[in-house]
Amino acid sequence: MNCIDCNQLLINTYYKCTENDYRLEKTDGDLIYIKDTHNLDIDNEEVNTQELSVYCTQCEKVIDYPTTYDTINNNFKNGNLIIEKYHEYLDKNIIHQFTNINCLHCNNILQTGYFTNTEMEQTEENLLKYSYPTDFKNTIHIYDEVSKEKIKDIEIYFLDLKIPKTEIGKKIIYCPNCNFFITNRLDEIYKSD
Amino acid sequence: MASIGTQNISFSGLKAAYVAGGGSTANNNLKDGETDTEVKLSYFYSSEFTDDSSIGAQGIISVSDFKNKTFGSSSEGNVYSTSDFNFNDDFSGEGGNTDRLYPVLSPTSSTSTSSSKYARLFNTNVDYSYPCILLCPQSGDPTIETTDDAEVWIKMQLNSPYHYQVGIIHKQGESSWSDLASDANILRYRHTTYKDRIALHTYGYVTHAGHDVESSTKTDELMNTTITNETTTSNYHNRIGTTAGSSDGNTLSSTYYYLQSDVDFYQSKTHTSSDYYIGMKLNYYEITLTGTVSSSSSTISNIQLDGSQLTSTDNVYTGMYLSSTESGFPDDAMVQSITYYTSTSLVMGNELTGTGTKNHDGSSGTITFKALGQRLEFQYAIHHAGGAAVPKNIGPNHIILPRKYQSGDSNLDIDSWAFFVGDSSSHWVNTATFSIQTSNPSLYPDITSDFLEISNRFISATSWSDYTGAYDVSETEIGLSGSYRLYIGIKITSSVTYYNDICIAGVQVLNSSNSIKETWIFNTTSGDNWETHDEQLSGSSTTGFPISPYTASGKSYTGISTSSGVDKFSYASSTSSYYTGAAGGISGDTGTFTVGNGKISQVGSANYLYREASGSTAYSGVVMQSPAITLASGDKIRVAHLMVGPSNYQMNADDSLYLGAYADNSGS
Repeated sequence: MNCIDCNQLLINTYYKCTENDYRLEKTDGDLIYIKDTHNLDIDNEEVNTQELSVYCTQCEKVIDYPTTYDTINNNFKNGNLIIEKYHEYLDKNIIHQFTNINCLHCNNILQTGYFTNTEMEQTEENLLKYSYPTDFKNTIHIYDEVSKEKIKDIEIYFLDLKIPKTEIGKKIIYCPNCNFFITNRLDEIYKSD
Repeated sequence: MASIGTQNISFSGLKAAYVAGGGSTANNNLKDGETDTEVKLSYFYSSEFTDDSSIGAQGIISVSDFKNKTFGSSSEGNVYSTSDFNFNDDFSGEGGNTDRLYPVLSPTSSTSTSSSKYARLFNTNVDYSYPCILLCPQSGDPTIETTDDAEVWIKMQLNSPYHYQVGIIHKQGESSWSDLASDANILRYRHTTYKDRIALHTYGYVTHAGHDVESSTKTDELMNTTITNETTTSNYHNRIGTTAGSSDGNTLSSTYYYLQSDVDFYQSKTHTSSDYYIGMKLNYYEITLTGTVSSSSSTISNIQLDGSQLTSTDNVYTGMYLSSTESGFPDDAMVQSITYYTSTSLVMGNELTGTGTKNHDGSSGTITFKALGQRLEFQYAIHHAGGAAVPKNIGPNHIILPRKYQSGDSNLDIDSWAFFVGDSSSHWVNTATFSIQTSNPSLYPDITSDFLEISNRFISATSWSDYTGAYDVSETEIGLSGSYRLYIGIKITSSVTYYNDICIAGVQVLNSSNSIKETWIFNTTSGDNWETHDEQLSGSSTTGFPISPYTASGKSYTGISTSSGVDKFSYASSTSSYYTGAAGGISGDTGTFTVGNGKISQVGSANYLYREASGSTAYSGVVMQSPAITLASGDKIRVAHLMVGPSNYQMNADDSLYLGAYADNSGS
């Protein structure tokens, strides 16, 4: 994956604890920098441990957004770290970087898109039937990113998905076949037919 | 004898008088039946007197506050305490044959019983969407009369997705309370926002009934932050048929919630798997006043109680009802607004519409009148390992219960109320245990006998590098008076010990009025005068800090430096182990610490205090102490901290960061 800030190709690195320091190295062993020095005993449980991380050589920083999708465990990762929520989802479109993920429910390739929504109105008729906000519903309108055409509507509960306030926050990848989509915050939403 | 007199007031005498007065609102230690047990002045917090006055729930008390008073309630009716209440199977919307919400033998039992302190909601045999069960203050009778006092505390043990309702409901013309449960289906199909009840939805909001006008600058007592979406002048006070509790059907839109569309303001407190306690407190007041009124005027001025100007502590609230035998005094009048000044005045409003004014049509002059009504408060408390946090109002400071409800085109009198709990979700798998408490929550944790765990939460790292998010701030209210030192301890609880870098950016002490008494921010490496003990204290996996505050007070301490180690606190502006630690402390110019999660932004270059965990021993502790500080009952200790680590090797958020205090003897 390329850096979403500068478009430079990202590289894998290791953050290591040695007897004498914490350091960031390329996977071939080239040193990038030493973060801190210390004098730990060789028997210390932390010595000789390392963590896979992802680095941008242009920005000169370790990046913290997801860069891979684990198709076995079905989760987004940055190095070894599972990223459950993408915290900059309102401002940076990360989800459209993932164009080769299969639907968890029908195995189709997920497509890039975005959504709008229509909330159930608080009419007396609805309020008599449904506890607010617990049982209120929200209709999600799925659009294709390229064609801008509406693909489908999916009815979910109001509390299933917090609606983002920005357009980027509403970017998704969606299944063209079933009612599954993943938001830019990495929320996974599915409703059976 | 419940009266106290004016001279030779002793603690034991106060205790005896409190017992004689039948009190139930203060500390239960006063009713231990003993004459030789310790009596603290703080035990008398919330005690009530027959003249409508009371001792506050916190703050400074002196013996003179009790002079010439008589313990007891001013109530015209019954007085029920939490020990009086039980759940009863006759008053459940899904009790009896359907058996989904019913009294049980114990909090873990599923065996139904007719009456119990415990009730459980199950998700089997679902026949009705929103079942509720009433609480009975008398055997087999949920009735709370409109002149009664009542207080109940319920332990809430909720399971995901935490959508429940708890509140008060009126009888709405049914001939018996059991009819609400069965014939009328009222306790079966009605959720939180039905207008026959005033309720808290555990998603995080309270429905709006009559309460005082609030400004957007009000700081919420529980959340310790400025309220949002406050009720506006267009819909405050009870409006019969419109606001919560004033109808026999229909529902409220979010316009008529307290804080309107902000439906998750209290969510972090109520929408949780952590146990907490909800209190409902009902006080009836009927206070005779005098005042001056002009003919055709809605304003009564120079309002006096027993010959003195009425003050804000005299239990007269906006929304209360007004009555008088004076000729021309308006019917259906209430306190629209009130202004406390050298000449306290109020404006009379309309009890039915909640808006506009009501004029006095009699002669000008001094009149005698009454302000009356039942005040409802929702309260919240959460117990810590070492005691209880001080109960706080959740929702408005006061709700005046409506006296009437709309049924069809008529406004009818409300004759009685009942407390209830229930389900407020139809499509989620809701299960819960509700336990009525036998006593009110104690006020303050005892942090001198045992360390108290204070961490807000564990934060799962979103990057291997140091965490850059804002600091969490805990708050602990204490009942200590005198010179003390504070002690903070960190215990290693992650199974991989080096993932345990807990950071403390600052400690602040405020008085009960939230004025800052002392702030220690650890952004530099000097000036705060905290000291560390230099030793790993052996501990165990059993929850609790390895030593007591007393033992901590006997340890030796030295100044803190940047030299880190597993056996002491040190300054740092980063830690090197991955997935744990913070990238910086907080600004030295930080003012009042805001309590909650993610409240104080980091400053990357600023230091904080931490214990280096790399190479530490599992479950061991280290401890540091503050300079001596003079504490007073009601003081609040706020600690800005972060507890960040990898999600698969978490620290125990109930057993990691500890606070203690012990009397300082250095000056003696």
